[in-house]
Amino acid sequence: MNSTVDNVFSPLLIPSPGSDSSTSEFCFHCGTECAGETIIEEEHSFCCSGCATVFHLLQANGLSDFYSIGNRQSPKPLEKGKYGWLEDEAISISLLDFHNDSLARVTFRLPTMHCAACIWLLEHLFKVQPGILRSEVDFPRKEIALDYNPKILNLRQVVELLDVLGYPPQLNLADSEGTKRNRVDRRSWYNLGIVGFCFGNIMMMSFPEYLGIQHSTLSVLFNWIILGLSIPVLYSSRGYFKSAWAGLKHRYINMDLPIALGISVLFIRSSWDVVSQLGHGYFDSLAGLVFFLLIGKIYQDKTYHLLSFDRDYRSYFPISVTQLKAGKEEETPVNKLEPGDTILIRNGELIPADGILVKGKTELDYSFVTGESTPVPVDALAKVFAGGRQIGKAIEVKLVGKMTQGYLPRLWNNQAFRKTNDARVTQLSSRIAKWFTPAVLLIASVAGLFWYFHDPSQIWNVVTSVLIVACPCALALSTPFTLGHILRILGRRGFFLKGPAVVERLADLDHIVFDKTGTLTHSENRTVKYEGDQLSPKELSAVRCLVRESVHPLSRQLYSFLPDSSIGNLEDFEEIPSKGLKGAIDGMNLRIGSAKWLGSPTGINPQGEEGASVTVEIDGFVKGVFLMKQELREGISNLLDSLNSEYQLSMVSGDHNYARKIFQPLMKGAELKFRQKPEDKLVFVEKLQANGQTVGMVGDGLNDSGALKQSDVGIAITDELAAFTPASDAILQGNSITSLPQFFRLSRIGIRLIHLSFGISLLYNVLGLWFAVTGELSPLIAAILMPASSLSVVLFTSAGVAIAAKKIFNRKSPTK
Amino acid sequence: MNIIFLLLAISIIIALLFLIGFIWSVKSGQYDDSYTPAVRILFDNPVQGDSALPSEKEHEQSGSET
Repeated sequence: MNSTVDNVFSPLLIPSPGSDSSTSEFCFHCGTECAGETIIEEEHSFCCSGCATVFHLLQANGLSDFYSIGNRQSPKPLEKGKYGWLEDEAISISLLDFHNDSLARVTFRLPTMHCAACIWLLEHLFKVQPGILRSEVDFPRKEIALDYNPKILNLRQVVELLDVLGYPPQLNLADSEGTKRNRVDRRSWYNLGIVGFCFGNIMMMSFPEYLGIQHSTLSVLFNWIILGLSIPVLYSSRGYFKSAWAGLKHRYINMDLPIALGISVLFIRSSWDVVSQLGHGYFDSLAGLVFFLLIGKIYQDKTYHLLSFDRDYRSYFPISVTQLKAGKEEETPVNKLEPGDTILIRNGELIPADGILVKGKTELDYSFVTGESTPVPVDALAKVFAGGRQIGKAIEVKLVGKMTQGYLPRLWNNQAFRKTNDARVTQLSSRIAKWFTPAVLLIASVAGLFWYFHDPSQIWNVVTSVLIVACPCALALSTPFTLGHILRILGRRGFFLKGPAVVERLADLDHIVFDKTGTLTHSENRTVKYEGDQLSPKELSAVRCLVRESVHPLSRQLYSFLPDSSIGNLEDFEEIPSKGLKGAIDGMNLRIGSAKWLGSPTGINPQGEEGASVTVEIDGFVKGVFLMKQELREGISNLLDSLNSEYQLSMVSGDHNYARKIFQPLMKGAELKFRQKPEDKLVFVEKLQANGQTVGMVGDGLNDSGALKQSDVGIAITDELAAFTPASDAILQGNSITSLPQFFRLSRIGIRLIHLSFGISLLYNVLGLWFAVTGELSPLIAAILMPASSLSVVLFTSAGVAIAAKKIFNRKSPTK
Repeated sequence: MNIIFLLLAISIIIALLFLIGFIWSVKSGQYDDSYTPAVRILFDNPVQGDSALPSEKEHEQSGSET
C-alpha cells in the first residue's frame, strides 16, 4: 500500500464496485475481491463480516458519506486484537499524553490510514462513539490525536473501536517506554520568519541607496534602522556560529566556519560603516545570505514521519504478554517478566525472551530472526528463542532468560551499533571547507599587504571585502538543494533515505550485498506446483476445505492457490503440529502433510528443490504432492544483470544451499554464502570493507540488522511501509527494487552536478575577488553578485537534477 | 517631507504586527501539518464534536444531508 501524501484522492487501482461486475464481486467497503463467501446486505456485497459490520456502524451513525469520498479502498478490519492489557492503570497512563478526571488525550499512530475517506471517518469518531470528544488527524505522520472522557470510556474501548473500524493503533514496547514522539522542531520556521521579515524590510530601506538618492538626515536614519533590523538576522544565524566553534574546538574545519566568518565580517564591517557614517553597509547581502541558507536547510531536511530508520528490538516486541500465575491468566508488562515465569503465547504472538516449551509440540516462525522462512518444529522441553512467532494453538513457555538477555538484544549490543553514520554531514562539503577558509585568508592577507604599500587607507576596505565576497554561499546552497531534490525524487519512487548524506554514500558504492529471503525473493509468495495423480474437482475441493481450517502458512497458501469451490461438509478435523491435517469430507478420508508422516515412497516426493512440500493422501492412497517454491521478485534477473556490469555483487542468506543453482547464474562471478547467522553477515560486510570496498547491503529482517548497520549504506526492503523494518540508512519499497540501478545512477549524477556547481561558484568568487582586491566592492555590487551566484547555482543544480531524473527514469529498460 | 518619519514608524509597526502574527501561528502548531488541512476543507460537513451530544449533531446533519 503506497500511501504517501501524493495520492490521497487518486483513482483506485482496482475497479470500484459496480463498474466491472462481470467476473467477480468486490466488497463495497474495502474494495477487495470477495473470494469465497460473499455477504449481501442492503443490496451491497461484502467480503467478510468485518466489513459488513463497519458498514452498519457507519450507517447507524449517519456516516454513510464515507462511501462517497475519494476512493473506496478502505482498510479491511482485522481480527480483533487482544487489548485486555490496556486495562492496566500504569500501562494506559504511560500511553496518554494528558489526563484528568474529565479529559484524556492520547496520540496513536494508525499505519493503515491511507486515503481521504480515512481522514474523514477518523475525524468523525465522535459520532460513532459517545465519550469521544474530538479527534484530529495528522496525515503525513499517520497520527490521530484523540480527546475522550475517561468517565465514559476507557482506553481499551477507544483502541477497540479503532481496531474494529480497520485502524489498529501501532502499539509496541518502544512507545510505552517513554520514547515519546519527537515534538516537532519549529525553530527553523521561527528563524525563517524572522529573517524573511528583516530581509524584506532591509531591502525596502536600501532602495534609496540603490537609486543613488542621498539625504542628510534620512539616509542616516535609514541606515540605523537597517542596522537594527540586522540584529535579529545575526541572532537567527547563531546555529552556524555554534557549529563552526564546535568544529574548531576539535581542531576541525567544517563548512560552517567560512559561513560564520563571512557573516561576522559582514556585520562588523557594515556596523562600522554605519556608526562612523562612512557609508551604508552590506546588511542587505547579509540578510539575503542568511535567508537563502535557511531555506536550503529547511529544504534538505525532508523527513518521512511514518518511517523509522532507527529501530531496535523494542519496537518489534509487544508491550505485554499473558502470564500464567498459579493457573490464572494475567496480563503482565513484558519488562517485568523474570526467568522462571510461565507465559502463554497464542497463535501469531511473539515470544519475548528465551525459554523452554513446557509441554506439547508446535511450530515456530523464526523468519525475522534467522531469515529462514520454513517453520521450525519444536518438541516439548526444547528451547525456544525470543523473536519467534507462534503458529498454531496457544503454548506455554517457561522463561529461562530476561528479555534483555535474549539472542536478539545481544545482537544489538554488537559493536556495529555503536558507530553512528551521520546521515546529514556530507564528506564533500567538509573536504572543500578544509582548504576554502585558509585560501580566503591567504588572499585577504596578500591583498592587504599589497595595499599597505600602495594606499594604506584601503587596507580595511579591501580585507573585509575579500572576506565578504569570498563566501561559500553557493557551495552551502548547492549541496542542500541538490540533495534535497534528489531525496524527494527518490522518495516518490519508493526509495526513502534517512538524510541527504546518504546520497553521497550511494554514489560511492562499489559492492552490493543482497540478502535472499524477502529481499530477492518474496517472503510470502511461493509458487505451487502439483505432481502426481490428477485430482478430481471433488477431491480438490475437499483438500481446499481441509486447509481452510488451518492457519499454517502452507495451508493458507494452498488455500489461495486451489480454485474456488463450494465448501463441503467437514467432519472430524484434526491438525497435528509438524505432521499435517487430517479430516473427513463428504465421505472421503483425507490426510495432507509431510511426506514422512504419510510414509510416501520417495518416488513421488522429490527433494533437492526448495523444502516445503505437502503430500496428499485420500482414503489411504497417496495421490500426489504440492511443491511450494519460493518465488523471485519480478525483474530480479534484469536487476542483477544491470548491476553486475557496474558493481561487484554478493549474496548472504540464512537459508540452505539449495538456492545456489538458481542464483549463481544470475550473479555471475559473485560470492554466494548460505546458512549465514546474523553475526556472519556482519563479519562478511566487515571483511569487504577491510579490503577497501564501499559496501551497500540490501536486507529485510532483524537478522540483517548487524550487516545493515555495518555497511556504508544499509537498505531495508519492505513490502508494507507500516510494518517493522530494521535499522537502516534507507528504506526501499518492495516493488521498487528493480529501479535500484537508476537510483544509484541518479545519486552519482547528483554528486557530479554538485561538483560542477562548485565550479560555477568558483567563477563568481573570482569575479567578486577581482572587485574586492581592487577596492571596488561597493555594497551595490555585493548585493548583486551574491544573490546572483546563489540563485544561479540553485537553478543550475535543480534544473540539472530534474533533467537527469527525466532521462534516467524514462529510459525503457530492455526486457528479457 | 517630514511626514516620512511618521510613515516609516507606521510601516515598521504594521510589519512587526505581521511578524508577531506569524510567530503566533507557528507556535499554535499551524505549521506542524501542512497537508491534512488541505484535505479537510474539501469535506462537506463540519467536523467538530466537542461537548455536543452525538445524537444532537446527527439530527443536525441528517437534516442537511440529501
